[in-house]
Amino acid sequence: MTLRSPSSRWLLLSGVLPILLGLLALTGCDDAYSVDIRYPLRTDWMIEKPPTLQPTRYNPPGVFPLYVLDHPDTTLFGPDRDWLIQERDEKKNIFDPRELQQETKELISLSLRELSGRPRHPKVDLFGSKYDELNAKLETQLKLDRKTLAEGAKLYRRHCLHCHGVAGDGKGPTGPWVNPPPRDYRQGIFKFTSSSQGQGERKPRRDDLQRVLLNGIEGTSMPSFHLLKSEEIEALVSYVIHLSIRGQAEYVTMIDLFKEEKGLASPTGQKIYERVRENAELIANQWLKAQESEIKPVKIPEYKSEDERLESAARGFRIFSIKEQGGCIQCHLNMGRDAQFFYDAWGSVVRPRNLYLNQFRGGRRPIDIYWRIHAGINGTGMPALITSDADLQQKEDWIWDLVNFVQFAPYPDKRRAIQEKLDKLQENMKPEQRVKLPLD
Amino acid sequence: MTQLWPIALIGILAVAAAGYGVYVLVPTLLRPRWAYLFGAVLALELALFVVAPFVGWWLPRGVSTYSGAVDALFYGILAVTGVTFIGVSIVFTIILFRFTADPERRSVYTHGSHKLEMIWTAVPAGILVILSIVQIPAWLKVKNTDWLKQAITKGRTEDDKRFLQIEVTARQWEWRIRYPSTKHYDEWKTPKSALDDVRLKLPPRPDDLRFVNEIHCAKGQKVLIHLKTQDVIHSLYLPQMRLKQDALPGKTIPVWFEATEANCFKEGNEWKTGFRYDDAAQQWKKDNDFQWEFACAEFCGARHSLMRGKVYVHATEEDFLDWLKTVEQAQGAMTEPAPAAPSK
Repeated sequence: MTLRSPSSRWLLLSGVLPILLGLLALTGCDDAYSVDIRYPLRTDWMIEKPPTLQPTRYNPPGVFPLYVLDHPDTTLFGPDRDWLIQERDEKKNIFDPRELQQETKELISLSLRELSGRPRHPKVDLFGSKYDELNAKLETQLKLDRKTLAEGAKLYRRHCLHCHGVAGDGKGPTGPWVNPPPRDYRQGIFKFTSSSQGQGERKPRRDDLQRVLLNGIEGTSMPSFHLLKSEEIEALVSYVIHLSIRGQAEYVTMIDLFKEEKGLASPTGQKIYERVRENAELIANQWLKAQESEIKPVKIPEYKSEDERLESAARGFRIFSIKEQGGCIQCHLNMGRDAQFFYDAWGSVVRPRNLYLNQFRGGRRPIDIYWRIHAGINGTGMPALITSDADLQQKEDWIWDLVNFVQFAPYPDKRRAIQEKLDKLQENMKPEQRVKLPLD
Repeated sequence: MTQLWPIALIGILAVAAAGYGVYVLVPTLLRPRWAYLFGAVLALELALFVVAPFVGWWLPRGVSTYSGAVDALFYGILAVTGVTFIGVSIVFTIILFRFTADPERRSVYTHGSHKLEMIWTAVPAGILVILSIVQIPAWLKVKNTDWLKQAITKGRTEDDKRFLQIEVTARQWEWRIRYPSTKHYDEWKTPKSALDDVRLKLPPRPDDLRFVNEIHCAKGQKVLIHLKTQDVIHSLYLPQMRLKQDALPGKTIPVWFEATEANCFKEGNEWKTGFRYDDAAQQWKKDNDFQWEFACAEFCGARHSLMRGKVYVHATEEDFLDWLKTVEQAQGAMTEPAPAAPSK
């Protein structure tokens, strides 16, 4: 009987091996993506306009509302599923990109790659001498140069990708499990903006995106990235803009193809290439324009005491409740506590805000709330109060009154104070003209 | 700490190589080779302990009033476990050396030793009892029943300084912090107002200031944190303050600390942290030991490791109020650009 058998030597060797392999793992990995990885072409449902029917419930965890259209479990959404399918068939406002011809899809994919590169080497580049000026503008004014974008892509993969997805589709692995769902950038709509373009083409300013990254969004799963350096935040903002331009060019092109009923035919390569280019140009110009069109308050009221602000809030509540003025209460039923469900522009289920909840997703500064009321919230049912310059002259005081009301509304003691001011304000009014604030 | 990786790597590699060498090179000369291997590993572990404090692999700087007491307790326990570790290691190695596998030797059967059993049960039990008594003062200091009681019954503490109350709300994966406005902070000059606020756990007000991932306070000022969580269990950990407390859903847990040193100063409009005030040179000097942070110490999900923030201890109460005012201005902004954003 001998102790030292040859196999025991190998046993020890195999014991050393895991240690060495473990050490190898400690040296870390390069987090750069392989060049072979491409942005995936869109395969999920596209809606042109939000469905007008009212859903009866939130989506179950793990399933986006529109996924119910082809989900094997037909009981997931209750009656909403059948209604949604009915609306799709009647109004033709929900499209399935998978129905496009393979050749068309490949052409779109190729032109998009020309436009925006790959995750490893992102860019925004509208080829051709006629776009030189625009390209230069994008680099200087929107900071979409390749170096910033590459840096942003790296950070995006580390911090954002698990929810927002490789292509910015809001469908990363953790995406379906949070409510509200992560933003899908591919429609080019961002909720919280401060630029004054029309509702359809409004893009956020870089500052808006930066503010969201720095502060996070209260009441959602979007955390704050306050600890990143300011250059890193800038790079992330650039990368999000890049994803959005790419995604919207894809979205608009596909929708166009569907609406022209040519989607199923096979247009020539050049045509699709040109279409993507033209759409990208349009979108890029919208982004550029947004940077210069900040909404600035004209009159900024000065309140000497809290009393004055409370009086303003009382006026604000009247505007809030009277149909001919703000009429906010039509959607924010019972201060938003009994609000109905709606579909938003991404096809997810949303509700008007509960104003007593003390959550301000777009920020809680007066100017933030001013912007929300002034311009509405993009992609949702929240409309803009101001639609023209004449409007602004007439209604700016309203906005500040509403701002004060919204800021005070979550606090029960302030609500009572507002009600006192209301009583004074409405002393000489007829009973039917009076409004009453629900105190608790 | 990253610069210390090479040392650790070389250490581990050396042990692996030594073990392998001992096994392959001297197979028959030294039969009890396992004893050498384990002896070497244990000796290296001990050496690491001796070296660690000198290369900075040790406790972070303690800067709160009770950090000394917590550290003393730590060192006490380290001494007990250290002595035990050395003793066990020596016995372990000797036994491996002496009783290496031998086909000639006959096994010995034993029914155990009652005396030995008694000793090794009684000694650790005795040590635990001693520890549990020794830790009482430190526990009382951390949970400071004294000043908390004063704060709750009188709204004022014995040293007659105002204390700061903040609300820290943990969520996946960030810390949301609510400060009083300067107006309310001023009101705490009267004990009654502060008293109400402690009892109501800092009730929300329209002029509260909200900030993410940064705790600000002043040196020598007691900070009462009302700790909450929005979703799962988190744990608030301020290593430099030696403060750790789990945040439980549905509960508001009060914890406190008082910093004895400052680590930030104002340069232009920016508050810079990670600096030490050099009394001799009369100026702030960069010092990595003064880069203080707080983090989540309870695994709470995928991004747990990124759930951290910075601690800014201002040199004076005025400095702290100065910072609070910049936040107040930024949050009351009725136009953009808002007044310069506070430190980053």
